[in-house]
Amino acid sequence: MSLLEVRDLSVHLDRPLVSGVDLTLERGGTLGVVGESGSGKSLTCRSVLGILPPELRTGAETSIRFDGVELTGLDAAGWLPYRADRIGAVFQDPGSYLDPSERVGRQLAEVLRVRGGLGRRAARDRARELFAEVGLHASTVDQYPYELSGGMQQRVLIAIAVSREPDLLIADEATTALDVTVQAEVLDLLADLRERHGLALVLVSHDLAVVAQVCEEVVVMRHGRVVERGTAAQVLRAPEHPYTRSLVAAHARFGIEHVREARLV
Amino acid sequence: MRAILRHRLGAASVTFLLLVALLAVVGPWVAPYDPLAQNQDALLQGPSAAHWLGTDNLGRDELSRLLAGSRLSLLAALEAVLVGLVLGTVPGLLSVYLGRVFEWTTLRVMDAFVTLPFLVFAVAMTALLGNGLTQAMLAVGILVSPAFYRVTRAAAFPVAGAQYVEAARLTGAPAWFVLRRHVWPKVLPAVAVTTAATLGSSLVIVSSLTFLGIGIQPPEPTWGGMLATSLEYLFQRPTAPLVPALLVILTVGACNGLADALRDVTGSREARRVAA
Amino acid sequence: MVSLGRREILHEVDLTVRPGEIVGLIGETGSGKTTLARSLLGLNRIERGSARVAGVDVAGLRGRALREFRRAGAVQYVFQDPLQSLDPDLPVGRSVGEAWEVRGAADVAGRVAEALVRVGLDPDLAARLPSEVSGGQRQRAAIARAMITSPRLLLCDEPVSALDASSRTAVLELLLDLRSSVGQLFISHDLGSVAGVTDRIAVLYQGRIVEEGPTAQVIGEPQHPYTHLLVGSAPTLGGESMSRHDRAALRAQL
Repeated sequence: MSLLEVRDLSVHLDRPLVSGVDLTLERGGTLGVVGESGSGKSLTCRSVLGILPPELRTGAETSIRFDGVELTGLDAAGWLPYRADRIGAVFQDPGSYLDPSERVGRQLAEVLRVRGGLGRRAARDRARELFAEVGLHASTVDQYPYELSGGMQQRVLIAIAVSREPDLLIADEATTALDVTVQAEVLDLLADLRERHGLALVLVSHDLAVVAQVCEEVVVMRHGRVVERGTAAQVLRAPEHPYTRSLVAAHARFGIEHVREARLV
Repeated sequence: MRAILRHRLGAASVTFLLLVALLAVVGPWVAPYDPLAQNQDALLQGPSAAHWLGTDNLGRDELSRLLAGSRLSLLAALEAVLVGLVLGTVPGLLSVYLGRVFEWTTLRVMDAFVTLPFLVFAVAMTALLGNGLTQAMLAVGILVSPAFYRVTRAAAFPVAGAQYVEAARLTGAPAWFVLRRHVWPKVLPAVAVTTAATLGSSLVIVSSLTFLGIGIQPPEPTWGGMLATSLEYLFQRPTAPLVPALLVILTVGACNGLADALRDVTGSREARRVAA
Repeated sequence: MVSLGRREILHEVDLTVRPGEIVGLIGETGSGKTTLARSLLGLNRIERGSARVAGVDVAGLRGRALREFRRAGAVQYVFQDPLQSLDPDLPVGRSVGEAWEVRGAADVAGRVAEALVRVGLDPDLAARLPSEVSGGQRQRAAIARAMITSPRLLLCDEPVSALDASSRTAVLELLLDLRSSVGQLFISHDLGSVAGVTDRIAVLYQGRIVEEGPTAQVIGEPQHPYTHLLVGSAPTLGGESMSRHDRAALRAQL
């Protein structure tokens, strides 16, 4: 049984925004979702997390099974054991997901106390451990979000997302707003967490190269549909859809590969 | 403008305000009697064919006085709004551009204006400058200017730092060009809403002042003054305050309705832009 | 060289952009790259040294002289996000032609049409609002606005970062296309994304240029550990270009 099985996912407003999306992710596996704004990649993530904007709904034929349990149609109480506890998520723009008036350590401890039932002291100690695990200095727990760089804020959010030891982490453009060197650090961190905890990862990005660096399986979306899927190596080496081909071609033309290849010739 | 007329409340408000304005303009010509002419034979009469709205304690025709009073009351309210508009909008715009000293000074002056109570300040001004509606409304105008100042500043502030303003400055455009081209169109809707709302509150203030007898010489008719006189003779003519009071209420209501409509219309344009 | 408030942001920066070349200025958050670009336009004050653009030293310009210099249009700036750099309430053409309107020129519309065609846009686009055209078209329009004064130097500050992959390629092709008519300083945080466009690359780190040279050399044989880290961090399609441990070792060196 796969950890996550999405079948025929569709999201509708007055018209379909996403349709016919199938995804499969094994326990501990990695899946990359590539697409530009409006491709439906974020709506797909939000459907899996059950946090679609209120005016949107999934189609009747949609099935989202997580560890064998159907998630579509769950009410707020039904979601409780899944969201955060078993499915974590991090998004773009980490600053807006942190309370600016509270020390970041307390924000993590709050999750541990409310959802994990830990005592005040135990939660604080565990928060320090988690901060160390995502590569933050222990003293960071006493800092406010505005005192941290974007990369550090994203680490805090990752610490919060993995604090309940979920089976699945969804990272939706989680490194887009970061500098390249920081992006590499955060991607390294995600890869480390995966190795250590057997975490399954859905990495969503507009950048094929970012996804290719971390993920084994890649899905390319455009206009609300999956236009290409396969292993990362397959998609990069022999892209079939014209859109995927244009993405690969753009990298070859303008990316670092351009210079590398020129030197080899 | 067309959008306001499609807005139901907006259309009703505009229609009513135009009607009142029309009456204020042509009133003196269509008035059946001289509003100041006293008639000792017809004191405190109820509505009749000769006097549609009856007569007051000096036998003056209420309808004629109401028509003449409309002009005075509206002009006074407009004066206050115009004074406030100029005194608020200009420094409001400049406070964003002229640097810290000007910004700090105007902010403190406007804060000071806010602390002054309307009626007391107006009374003091008329005592200082002479008892006239113009003087009183000048005082009111000064006191409503902080509303314009703040609204203008709030609307101009984000625009002043916007990249398209920076881009315009990089073409070597002088400040007035940038103001006219980029800043003013963004400020205008907010100022229009404030103007409509302030017109309503100014009318209330005019009516209150004239009700108290501040700013008018006795025979001159105003809405507030008529209300005051008719209240004195409530026993003889219980329905007399009804018409002037209703007129004040409806006109102020229409001003607020127009302000709401303006806000809805310009707001939805804003929202559309965000959605796109 | 440039200071903001009392704090020095850039130190001893030497940089030359010659006509007909695109120089990449690579730096991350806080490196001072945007400060550098802004000081070339007189938006930040230069404390020491000089910045000669088309023969004029920008460092000494104030007030009226600065306005005259800008009006001459020898340097132009292309912002990152055209949604913010074009007035949302004005038709695209009005923004594109602004420089000529400021100069009080006749036939602004004709010049706008010409500029739009030059960046590969339909002249009819001039009548539309920025929100009514695509992201790529918007950025082309912003480039048209910059090109309309026939500048000698174009400062492009992350010109494709806010764009989708498909429009990104088109805008980069356009900049390459314009290279023969205008020297460009291409500012970016991502070395990997500009490698195919630039002739030379300068790497800015903590307000200093730590490495400069031909693109192939900087990327192929980076000398400074920071440059090395930048190259190793850039996502590529060829899988990981550097191992996690190598990156960690480089970070420790900085």
